[in-house]
Amino acid sequence: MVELELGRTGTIYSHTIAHVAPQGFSAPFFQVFVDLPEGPRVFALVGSECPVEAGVLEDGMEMRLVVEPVADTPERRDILTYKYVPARQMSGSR
Amino acid sequence: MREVAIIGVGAHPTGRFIDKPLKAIAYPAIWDALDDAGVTPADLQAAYVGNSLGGLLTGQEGVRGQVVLQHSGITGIPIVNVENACASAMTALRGAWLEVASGAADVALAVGVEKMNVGNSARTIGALSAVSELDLAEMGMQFTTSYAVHPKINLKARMHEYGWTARDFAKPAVKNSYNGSLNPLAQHRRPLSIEEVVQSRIIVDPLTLLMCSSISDGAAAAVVCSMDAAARFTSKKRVRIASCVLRSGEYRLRDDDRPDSATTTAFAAYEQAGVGPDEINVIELHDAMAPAELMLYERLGLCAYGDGPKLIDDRITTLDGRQPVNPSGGLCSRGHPVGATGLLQICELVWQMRGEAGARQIEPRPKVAMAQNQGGLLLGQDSAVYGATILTA
Repeated sequence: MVELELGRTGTIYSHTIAHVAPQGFSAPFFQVFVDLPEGPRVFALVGSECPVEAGVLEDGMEMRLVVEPVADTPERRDILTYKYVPARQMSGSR
Repeated sequence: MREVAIIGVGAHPTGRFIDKPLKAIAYPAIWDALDDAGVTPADLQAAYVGNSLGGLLTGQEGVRGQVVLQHSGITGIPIVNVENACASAMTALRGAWLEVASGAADVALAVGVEKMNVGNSARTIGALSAVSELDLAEMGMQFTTSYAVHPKINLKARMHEYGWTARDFAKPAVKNSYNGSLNPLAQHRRPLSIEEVVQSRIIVDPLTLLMCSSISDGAAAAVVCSMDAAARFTSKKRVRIASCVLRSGEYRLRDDDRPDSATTTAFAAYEQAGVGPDEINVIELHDAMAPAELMLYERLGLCAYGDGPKLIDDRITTLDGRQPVNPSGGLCSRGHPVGATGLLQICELVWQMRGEAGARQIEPRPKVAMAQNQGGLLLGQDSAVYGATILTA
């Protein structure tokens, strides 16, 4: 086993929009796997600045790390986690 | 190891039984299995009870097996509680099989029971998520999502790689809905069309509602007995357990493309039973999402990678085909009460091998049958638990 320091970037391996959510989450929401340049492939949620719409994310897209609450719900609002957002500023949104 | 037979099976219908507690769902399945086997509770020497979500959904965190069996009149004997996610019942069967195969018991009972309808589907989905590694569950990972994005079972990647389409994904659902329409125990008994499946609402892109197994209550049970002692109880055809293989998901790094655990489990079962994939006459497999059936055809060695939809197009795996798959309707139509599914699969195979499957009876009667079951979710594999059981008659 080796301890590895991870950076703040990655690329999308796969992504989907879930239209049904477990308790503590609100649908629709993105779920993705992100390939990190250091080697690991991690499961992740997508930061709230990214609008949940088809076509916004693409496999292979460059992403950067953000830290924010797991979900904006009473159950998850106080739990912080890692998420990813598109590395390039999104045009036309927000 | 001694030869072991399944001498009795029973099942509770699968569906929505909101007013029935766990023990009331289990009871009819247990008693049907005992009656079918010709045994009484006094003949049983051990029992294994599979259940996955009862702790979170009913609050009965411990001794669920003892509670359930006490209400069926079975007390005193060793009772082992089995939680192995959607493979709990298959794992219970393996426990009962080992008791008898080892000589510790002559007659043992395996039960699988699940109650998922608790009047709040978000709570049920939350409980289901908790049979994934908790770090994943707390990030909102769901089984449906895993089929869309998980590296090992990524359906979108299959679309790119093989040219599979949404219509291909719908084919197992359509085939299995027809089978389910002939099964009085099935949860969903209406035959579906490809258009209907493709056009139903999207749950997790690319999966639509009618491609997903639904929230379900149900139970199944099997009595296993040493082959030598079987004649004491029943004159019915004995179905032999030729192999019963349980494995756990093997962690795989990103570029590791060695065979996955569904494949290694199935091939271990073939080897122990001394048969090849071509010699299996009927298969019940774990189509938690309809397109999973296409991927499992590959992984069980039924076809080359990418050829899954052809097995349905060419009517190989249909009820009238050379190698019918999911004659019961499978998880999507018969239903997927998660901790009962492995034994519901076994019930169907035993009925088919005995010629007791009614309107969905396969002819000629199958002589070699396989149940494939899996459950849970780990980051490095698509499932935490894999099982494969081969029966011969």
